[in-house]
Amino acid sequence: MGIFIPKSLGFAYVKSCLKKILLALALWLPIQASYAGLFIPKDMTMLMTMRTGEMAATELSYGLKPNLSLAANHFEFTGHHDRVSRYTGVQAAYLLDRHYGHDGIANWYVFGGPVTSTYMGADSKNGAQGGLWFDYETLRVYTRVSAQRFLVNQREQSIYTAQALWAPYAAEFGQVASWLGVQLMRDSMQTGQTALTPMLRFFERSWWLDVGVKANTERRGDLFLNVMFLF
Amino acid sequence: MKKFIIQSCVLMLTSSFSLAALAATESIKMRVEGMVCAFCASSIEKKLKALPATSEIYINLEKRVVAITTKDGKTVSDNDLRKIIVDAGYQLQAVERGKFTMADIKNQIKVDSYKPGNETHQHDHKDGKHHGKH
Repeated sequence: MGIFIPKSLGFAYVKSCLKKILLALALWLPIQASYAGLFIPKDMTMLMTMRTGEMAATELSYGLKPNLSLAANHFEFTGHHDRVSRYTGVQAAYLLDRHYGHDGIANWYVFGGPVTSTYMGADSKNGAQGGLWFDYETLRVYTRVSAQRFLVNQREQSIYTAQALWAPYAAEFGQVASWLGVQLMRDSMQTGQTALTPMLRFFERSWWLDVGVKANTERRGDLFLNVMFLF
Repeated sequence: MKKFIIQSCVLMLTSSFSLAALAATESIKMRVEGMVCAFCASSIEKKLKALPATSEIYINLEKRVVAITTKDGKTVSDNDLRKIIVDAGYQLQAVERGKFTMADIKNQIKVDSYKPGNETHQHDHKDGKHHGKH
């Protein structure tokens, strides 16, 4: 005897449950800093590099399907007392849901994959990383929250990021879009304080640039740079 | 004889206009739901550019419109257009075909009262065909 699920509820019910589970997972996940975009259209390639005082990341992504992208990435974190951890891995990002609203678009992604990691110069160990990402954007507003966790040989690192940006004008296609906003980031390798980074964002057809300066924590004054190319 | 010459000239002119109309470029205007970011929408431009039939491309993010004109005598099927839009991560809401120039289309879009998400909007089709929801 099987479990009875009314036909009218079937797929929507399963999808709704899956969302709740993932949301719970995101809340459980120690926070991760999100650095780039996960919206990689099919057959497009994106190169991203991000630099700030305590973190560097490089990623090459490819849109395999409209709802699936694959990436190879490398992260380097310098934590409290200059403890350095490095992760190199491959990653799949899957679009769980995309909502087309009147003004904008909302996306839920889950991402993750295997990594190999070194910590404070020790031998490399294998592990995994993964997380959840939500964003909502219109022509004038962009918001994002994401959580990511690295698990390597019982060592954990979690990064949580939130971004909110506003565009003073709605840029036309082919015109440079200018945004201003803030990023909040909490990294379990750091002192525990949430880093606040006021930032500017500029992008056009095939390039994207985020520039900011950390406004607090022991890394205050550090430059934040995120550059992406789509081709 | 004079009458014959005039008739022949008129016929030749009419024929050349008809041939020109047959060979004229086609304009295709698409409503694309969700298209709010130029960075993400650039894949639409890239793929449309790669089509042998495409002559000009225009993308308007505010009105969520992607428009192309085709090269003489060439066209692009709705299915091909739909695939490009869906692969880019968006939804194709409607396709309108006509014989407009890109300048005409830009002017139409400027005065278009369409607001994304407003389903009660009436399109002005003139001699264009509207293919409705996809």
